[in-house]
Amino acid sequence: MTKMVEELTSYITQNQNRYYRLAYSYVKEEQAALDVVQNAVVRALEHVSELRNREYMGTWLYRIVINESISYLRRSAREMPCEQEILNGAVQDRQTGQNTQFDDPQMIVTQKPEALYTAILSLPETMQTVIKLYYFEELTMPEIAAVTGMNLSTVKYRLYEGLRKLKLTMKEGVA
Amino acid sequence: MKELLTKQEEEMLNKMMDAEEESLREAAEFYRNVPIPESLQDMVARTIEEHTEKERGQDRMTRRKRKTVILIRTIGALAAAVILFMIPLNMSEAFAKQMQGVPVLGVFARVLTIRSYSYTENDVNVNVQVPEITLADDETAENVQTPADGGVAAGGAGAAAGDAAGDAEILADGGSGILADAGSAGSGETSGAEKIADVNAEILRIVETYEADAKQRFEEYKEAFFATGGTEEEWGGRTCEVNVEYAVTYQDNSRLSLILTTTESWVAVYAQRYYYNLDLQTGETLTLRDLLGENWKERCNECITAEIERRIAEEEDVVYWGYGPEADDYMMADEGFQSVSGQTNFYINENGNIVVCFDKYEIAPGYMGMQEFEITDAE
Repeated sequence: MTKMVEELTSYITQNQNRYYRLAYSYVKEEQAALDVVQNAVVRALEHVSELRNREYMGTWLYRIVINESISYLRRSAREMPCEQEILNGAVQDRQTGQNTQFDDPQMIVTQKPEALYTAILSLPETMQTVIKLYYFEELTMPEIAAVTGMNLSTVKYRLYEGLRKLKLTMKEGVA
Repeated sequence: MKELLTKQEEEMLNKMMDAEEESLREAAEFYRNVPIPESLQDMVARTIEEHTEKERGQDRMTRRKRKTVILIRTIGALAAAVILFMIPLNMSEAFAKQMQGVPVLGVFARVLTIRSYSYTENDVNVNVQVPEITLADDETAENVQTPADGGVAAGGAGAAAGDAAGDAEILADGGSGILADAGSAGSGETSGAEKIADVNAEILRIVETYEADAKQRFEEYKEAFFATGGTEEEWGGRTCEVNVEYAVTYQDNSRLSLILTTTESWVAVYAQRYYYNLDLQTGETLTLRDLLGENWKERCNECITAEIERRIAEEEDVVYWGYGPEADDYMMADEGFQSVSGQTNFYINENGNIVVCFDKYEIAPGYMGMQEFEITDAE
């Protein structure tokens, strides 16, 4: 094993939970998220020679995980009709297991963070990715630019769009 | 598409970020509270281990192929007398059985299962078939070839003609192929037989190492499972299947194609193929160039690209990195199939066509699995 491969494998092992959570936030299913992480690990190992600078290892790995997640979603979009419900804003209430909609004002008040979380997950992929990386993985904007291959101003723009869209969704819900 | 924020929008963004900061941090809790499945750690560790082992295996094969390229280039016309020896997964067992140990007309090599065994040990079910290639000796060769009396005799003439480049043209023709074989048998046999013995030894080593490693991996997994507080109940009688099998995909009197496959299934299924392309006379591995000629790259690339595009257009849920809807995905710009190389795997199918193979993940997402492309004649 080369030194880079050793570093990569230990980096992956240390951060595997992060990759799983990130994958899960896209695919929303345990087995699927495990598959995504596995594919991502293999891909990282196969392409490690392309990673010239170890400083980029972190952002590079996020990028691979996001890629695998999105590939998975594209494939399964047609297979899983329930996906559409999630996209339309239906929320699976954890406590009761019932489906509740955003337009139930009571739900918004009591479950706001979860509704917000669900709303984030139903944003278009690029906006979602920027918000997740910024607020959940606490990456800086330049780091997000490196992960997504966008330039810094595009990252900002996506964040702006995303937040605005979220605000609209939440407002509609409350009204 | 608009990508730049105006000054006003920038202010807006800052305001929104301030205003939503708290609720977004709260929402992050839902993100972080996603339970991590116990199997994650095992799966990641195992995937890494599998991969690094595979890399080592490929290094070996790469060296082998390089050596072959040089040798085959110098031999040139000897491409006429060729054995392609590989081992494929998708071959029917019946066909494999039919092929093994059955001397086909005019064939100079046979593939026999020298060992076949199954057993269960510590929850591991092992099924192994070890192939061995044997070159038919002169006597056998004579017995085997009915139409070859004339052929063998004429073989002398072939030998007299030496390594005339013209011999290469009779590659696909059964009767004439024997001529070429017989013609060069005298000079090539010793080293060919030795090299084929090397191949047999390598197969045996791969099988033995693999079997031992697979059992050890499962044992370690099991230990880790109980060491981290797993109970017998949770273990629930998990077992592991370890299989080694082979199949001959193509055989004529100049070529034999065979693939060895190792499969291991427990958390997920891991399959690996070993392809050997051997020249019967020299015992060396054949290359795509030997089989397809100088334009091998162009021919393969054309066929593969056209087939990828056809599959994307005609089939459901097909994704190839860098093609179709993925072509302008900025993240995938430098990924996906670009060209075959000297390291590209292939075998010969029952039609005598080359089938180029890409491992899972190599040119498409993992769910697409292993990818195969038959190289057919251009119209």
